Amino acid sequence: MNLLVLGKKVRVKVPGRGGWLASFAANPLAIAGAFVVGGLCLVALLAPWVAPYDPQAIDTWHILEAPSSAHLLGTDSLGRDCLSRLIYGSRISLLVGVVSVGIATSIGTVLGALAGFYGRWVDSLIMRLVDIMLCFPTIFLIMAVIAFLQPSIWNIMAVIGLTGWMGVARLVRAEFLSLRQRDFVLAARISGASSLRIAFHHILPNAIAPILVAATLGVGGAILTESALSFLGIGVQPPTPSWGNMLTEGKDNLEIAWWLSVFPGLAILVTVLGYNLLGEGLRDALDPRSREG
Amino acid sequence: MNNNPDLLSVQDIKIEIKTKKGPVYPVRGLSFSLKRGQSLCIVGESGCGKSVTALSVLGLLPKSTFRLIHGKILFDGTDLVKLPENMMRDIRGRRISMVFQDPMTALNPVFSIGEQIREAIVAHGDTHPMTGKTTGTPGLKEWIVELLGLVGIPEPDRRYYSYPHELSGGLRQRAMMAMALACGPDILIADEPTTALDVTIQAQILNLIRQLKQKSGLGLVLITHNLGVVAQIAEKVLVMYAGKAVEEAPVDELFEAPFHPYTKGLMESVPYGLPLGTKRLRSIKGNVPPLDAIPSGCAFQSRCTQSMEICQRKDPPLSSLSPTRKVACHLYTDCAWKKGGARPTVGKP
Repeated sequence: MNLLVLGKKVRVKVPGRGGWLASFAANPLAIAGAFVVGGLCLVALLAPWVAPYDPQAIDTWHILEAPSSAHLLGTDSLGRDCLSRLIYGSRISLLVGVVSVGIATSIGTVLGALAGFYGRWVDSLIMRLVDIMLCFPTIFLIMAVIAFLQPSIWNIMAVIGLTGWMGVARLVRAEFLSLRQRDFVLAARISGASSLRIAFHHILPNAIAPILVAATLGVGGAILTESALSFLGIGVQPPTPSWGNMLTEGKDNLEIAWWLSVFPGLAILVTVLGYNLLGEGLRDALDPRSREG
Repeated sequence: MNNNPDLLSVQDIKIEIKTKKGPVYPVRGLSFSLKRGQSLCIVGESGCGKSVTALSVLGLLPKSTFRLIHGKILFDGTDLVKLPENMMRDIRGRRISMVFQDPMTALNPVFSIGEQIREAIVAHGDTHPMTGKTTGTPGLKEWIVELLGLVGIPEPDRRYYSYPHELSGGLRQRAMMAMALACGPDILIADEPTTALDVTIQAQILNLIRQLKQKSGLGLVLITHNLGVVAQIAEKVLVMYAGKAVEEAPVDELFEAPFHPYTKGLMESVPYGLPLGTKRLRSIKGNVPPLDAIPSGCAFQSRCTQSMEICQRKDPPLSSLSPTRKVACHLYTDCAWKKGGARPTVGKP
């Protein structure tokens, strides 16, 4: 939009025009994040077709080979193709990220909504529970729990989910505290809607944007936690490839085979970065207050 | 029906707000009644308890701070004060409905207009009270579109899918009205429905309310501080001051001859089609007393031009002057003028 100010033509950015998608598309970092996440999902879905080798096929004739045209990212100490393992490992990372965040977001949303909507003792109870949960150092809590249970991928997802809902709960509570004061809530009451229906049918859709942002950022965190657990040997168990346990194998041969550590490490870095950029981009696009004017 | 009983009868309600400094009373013994198809206007300045009264009828005062400490609210013979919440929900929307002052915030931004009206209907169960149709049936959408047309929304079939931010203030208020009327209520409470709208839209909305009332025999409680609105819509007027009714009268008689000094004051502060410059508008001096400092005796005494000694001692009760008119002022109690007080001047302000 061009405005004439003191004889000069000034370009004025009109905020809010074109909706959040346009605002999202105008942010190059967010687009980059979307591409990383999208590409990763594609690779994970199409793993059997994109991977050049079987990720678990042992080839004792080609042990610890440096990256070459036959093995683009080299081979490990059992002669398995690094690239294929990385590709199959992305499935684990995505699965753990999405499922555990799904669990965390569901719990957090329901508890946060109840706390924010009902207030009073319900609020106090749930928020104190949040405070208590936040007191535990998460990684040690997870390690302790996994020590009791079998270290399987399902247990990992459940535990990461059950220890990661507090942030979402606080967020949703804050949204509900402000939304429940709005007139449309009273209007819904006047048309005879019950409390639960108002909370989850009328108010919750208004709080979707921040929940979506928190969930996206949460996926990155969950992937990181899973990698850490697998690296420590209490996550996904070999021979199933995961980026974390690939790093463990890599560290044993760090002096002679740098590619075993570098590529899984880079994969984790790029993926988590991608999710964070996507999350931040969504936040900027969905929340007009943080949008640059 | 000749022996038309009162559909809604509010009897001597008193509402308490708990504050840190102690309880205050925004409504202090208010009574009024409404017959089926009648329209009642509640008039008064900001902060005199109009909206609190409206919400108390629907049982929607926030329980943490507000408490109805005295009185009955009889609707169709049942006392709403004692009704359990789940039965009250059945009355809200279906029997008594409400529209608000600000159509900007009263619609949920994430649902389309049509969905919201559907929601208001679905909230009351599977079958629709007016059509008897199951809410899942395709006929419901057509019915909602028809309703949108009825409240004067152009292109209702397209507007069904519009979101609140795509509509103008007037259209939103119409949509609110459609939502309030969706379940065919007996009483519509309108809390300053035109205050947030510009003047031309105000007139349209008032016309709409009047038409709807004639068509459907809707009882109307209109809350306003705009005497122009009162003159257009009301049959009966209740003037409120500091949580109490100070005057109750049929609309024609009230405009012909206001009795209470406060009503007179209100009328003198509004220009009635007078040519410019022929009369100075007068304002009522002072403000409504804050809730925690309502004086003993008559609450209006400090602003009243005709206040007497008795006004400081005794709060005048609302008493009948004629079969149709009630007023709460010492100027009209026998004892006041028998003992040498000024006889009230009845006539135009």
